[in-house]
Amino acid sequence: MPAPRPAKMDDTMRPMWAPLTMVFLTVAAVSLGACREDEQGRVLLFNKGVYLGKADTDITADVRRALGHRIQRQASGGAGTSGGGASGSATPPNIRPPASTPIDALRERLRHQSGN
Amino acid sequence: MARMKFLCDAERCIECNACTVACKNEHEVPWGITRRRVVTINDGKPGERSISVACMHCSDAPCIAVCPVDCIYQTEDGVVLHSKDLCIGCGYCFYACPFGAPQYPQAGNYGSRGKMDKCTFCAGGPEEDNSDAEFKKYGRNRLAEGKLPLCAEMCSTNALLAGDGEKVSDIYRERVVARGFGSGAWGWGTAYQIKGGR
Repeated sequence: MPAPRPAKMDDTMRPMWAPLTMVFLTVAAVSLGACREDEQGRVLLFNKGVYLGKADTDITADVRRALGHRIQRQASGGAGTSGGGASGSATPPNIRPPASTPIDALRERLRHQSGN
Repeated sequence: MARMKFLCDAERCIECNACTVACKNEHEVPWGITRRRVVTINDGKPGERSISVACMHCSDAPCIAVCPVDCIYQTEDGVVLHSKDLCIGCGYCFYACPFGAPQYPQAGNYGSRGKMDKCTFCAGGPEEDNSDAEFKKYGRNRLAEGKLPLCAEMCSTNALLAGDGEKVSDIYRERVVARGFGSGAWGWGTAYQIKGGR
């Protein structure tokens, strides 16, 4: 009785190619489908010479006027480092109110100044 | 409409570098990036002059012209700003800028660059005014608060002027008249061929 013929590699693998190809194509299609702007969260196509970022907010006319007054401080001999509000002008002061930084964080920063 | 401009009076600048420090502190600029720096020539010799340099917010900005992703724009007040969301860190603006204003954080090995960073004239960026996102990406928006750039406002000798170009030139014109000689502006002697130029 002749020994059974060993199965060739081609005979067993060929049926597997079709499902593997299908899986590969599906993965490729899903991956490429994810290349959309809304999914990437950034601009993918640019128009030459056109700014496509977020629009900036213009300053108001009042602020612009205040800036015009404020520059006069730079003309004088003295420095413009004062707490602001000099001579009762309407321009905002240079000093901000204290931030809501916890005192512990400030102490930690102070520790860095010790050099130890 | 105002055209915001910087002007550094080389006759007054004493190279204290306070503008550099103030800028870094105000905007919490990361290590390795200096938006403003003081340049000195003839250091320690006769004719020594210093000038504070940052983005000059050019009217016809070359950085805007060369940006391949058009991330740089100009506001109505002439301030040149950019969007870090669009920037790809290519470095073209650095090569185009005559003042060396654009800076890049190191983003990885082999000198790869991160998003460009530069002086914003204390006007933030395209994010919502005075929002956390704006502060983290671009620094403080003093213009929206009705304040001019801190580097100029705290300059102890008032060498650095910042604001509406017309008013800046008015202030500077008065100084030149009061001095009674040259302008003291950088390159004046070269431009107008004064002997031993100032």
